[in-house]
Amino acid sequence: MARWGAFICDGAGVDESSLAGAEVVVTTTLPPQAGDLACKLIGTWTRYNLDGGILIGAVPELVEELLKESLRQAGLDPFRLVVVDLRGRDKEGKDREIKAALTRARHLEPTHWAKAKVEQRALIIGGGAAGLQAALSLRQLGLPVLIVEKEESLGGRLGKLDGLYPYDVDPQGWIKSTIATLQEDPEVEILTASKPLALAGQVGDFILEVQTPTGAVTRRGGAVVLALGSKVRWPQESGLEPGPRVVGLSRLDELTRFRLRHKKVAFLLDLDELGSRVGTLSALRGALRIKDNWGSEVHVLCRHLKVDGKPLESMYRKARDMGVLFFKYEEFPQVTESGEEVTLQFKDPDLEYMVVEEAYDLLIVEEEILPAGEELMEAWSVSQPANVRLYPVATNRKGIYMVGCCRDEMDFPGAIQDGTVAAGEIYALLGEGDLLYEEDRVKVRSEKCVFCLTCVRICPHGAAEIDLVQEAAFINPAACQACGMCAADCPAQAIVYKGFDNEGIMAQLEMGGR
Amino acid sequence: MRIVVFCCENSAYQAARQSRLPAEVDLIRLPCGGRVEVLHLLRAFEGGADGVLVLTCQEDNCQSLHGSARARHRVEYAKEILKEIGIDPERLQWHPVTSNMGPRFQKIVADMVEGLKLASA
Ligand code: SF4
Ligand code: SF4
Repeated sequence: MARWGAFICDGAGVDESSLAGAEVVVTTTLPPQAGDLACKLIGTWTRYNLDGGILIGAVPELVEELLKESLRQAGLDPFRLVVVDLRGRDKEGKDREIKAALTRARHLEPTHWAKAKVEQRALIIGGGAAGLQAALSLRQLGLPVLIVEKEESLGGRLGKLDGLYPYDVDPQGWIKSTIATLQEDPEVEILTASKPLALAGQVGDFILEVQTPTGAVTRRGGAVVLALGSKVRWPQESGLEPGPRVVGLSRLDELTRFRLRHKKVAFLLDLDELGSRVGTLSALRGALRIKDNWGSEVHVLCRHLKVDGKPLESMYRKARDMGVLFFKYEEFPQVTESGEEVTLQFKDPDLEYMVVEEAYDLLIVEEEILPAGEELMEAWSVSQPANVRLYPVATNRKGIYMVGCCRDEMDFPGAIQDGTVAAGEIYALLGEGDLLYEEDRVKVRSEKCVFCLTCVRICPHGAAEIDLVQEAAFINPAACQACGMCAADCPAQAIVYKGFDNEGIMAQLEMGGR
Repeated sequence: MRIVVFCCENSAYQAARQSRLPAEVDLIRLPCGGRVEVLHLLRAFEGGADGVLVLTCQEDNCQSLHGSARARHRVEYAKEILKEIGIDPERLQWHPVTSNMGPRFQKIVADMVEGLKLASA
């Protein structure tokens, strides 16, 4: 028989008779201060060698969290603390809550905790700004890293730009020095011109297979950082065709490196109604660059210029000072190409919708910037929908993070911030060297499993796996986030969820019947 | 009268803790909306509930991504069954409630109580 302790908070207005008939071996009144509360709770728990505790009173969520953390630190099972928060309930409501809690407690089977050694290394896929920053921060925290980069050299898209950027840190300089630091570090392995092939394992012990120029290699790591960057897409819907007079914004650096000079250049932005901030940034940067390199006449056409914050603002001013003209359009401009010229005709709302017609010898068009690496994410069951609980860098899978442009449109400071945040989370996960988890909170009874793979398909956290030997599903306890979705959907009722099993839920439902 | 409220521990249950609840409410905690089964919903009625609420996260802020959407689907499915067996499907409702929506929780419960009173009058 289980040994439960009832802990009644001072002033809860509950008398012991409401606990009648329960397997309660001790009843204690707790002081109102959270700190003292934890001491007394843990003291009593250990002294009476309890299997669990029922805490009754006005227990805000924060206090509950604090007590559970204290229990964990004392080596006691926080999930064996059943909290009955009586705030907002009248006498009858209180009785019901307590009765429900006792029923819950009766069905709360003990779970077993396990500790597994983790691979104290992070596997970073992608060596652009965000990936490099993750590597740098992880090294500062003392964790070894692997960087896998598909190109011949590290640096990503930013590494390919030539100078001029509006922030305090110069990205190109930063990238160069970061690469140098990482290359010197014996705890950093860099695989360039390499491609990830497969990812097996789970949080704490992922196994990554990588195709390198000299053959396939396998590396293990406790966490994975996806820094997959972005890709550009030509805005087909606009009807524009790329050619010698019409080019994409992403080719700007390549173009301005040549001596060939265009006399009059236009930037056409916001091709999709919303437009992007990074598009504005690149165009401003491009306008300044063209002014510097070619001395051309430069026009910028947009729906709305997305100038937020100081760096962009100062760039905008500088561009104006240098004679760059800005126009607005609502209706997409008419574009006609003839021989050496591209002519744009549009109505500017700020000029009282006057028709403006200008001929240019180069039109630079904003492309769409899309996250890269979808195939990889699909193959590895990784997703990162807009969800506050995952924001900013977590994904549906424990131990896998997404940083930089593959998760959202962002500029250099954004990428740096992402890398730093991910490194911090990984350190919290792997820094101790082992992972503590419940071995059997959610478990497949393999003898009941009909191997329909429903659970594998629906588990939002990629924790349900296939055990080919047993011909049964298997739940990886370290990756499982205990949502219970698989238990609800398993057609064979083969999945047990301790603490939220059907018996417990049904007992609570029946309890209140009259 | 008895109202059974299935609440996701991450959201609606936290809201419940900040609301004043009438005596006839029984809260059933779930780790996520995705844990709820049609069977639970029907058993609640069988066990004497006059109304059943399933209160989970906003659909795009579910910790388990589709847990809340699944809860909603199950409620819709169970409503069909209720219709067939002659129970007013309005006695079963799903609503999204975030953890800081104590007043909304209270309102949903109050509306349910009100509705049930009208139905039995
Ligand atoms: S859903 Fe149930 S029966 Fe199907 S594979 Fe998973 S555990 Fe086995
Ligand atoms: S409880 Fe949730 S996270 Fe765990 S295996 Fe089942 S569906 Fe996946």
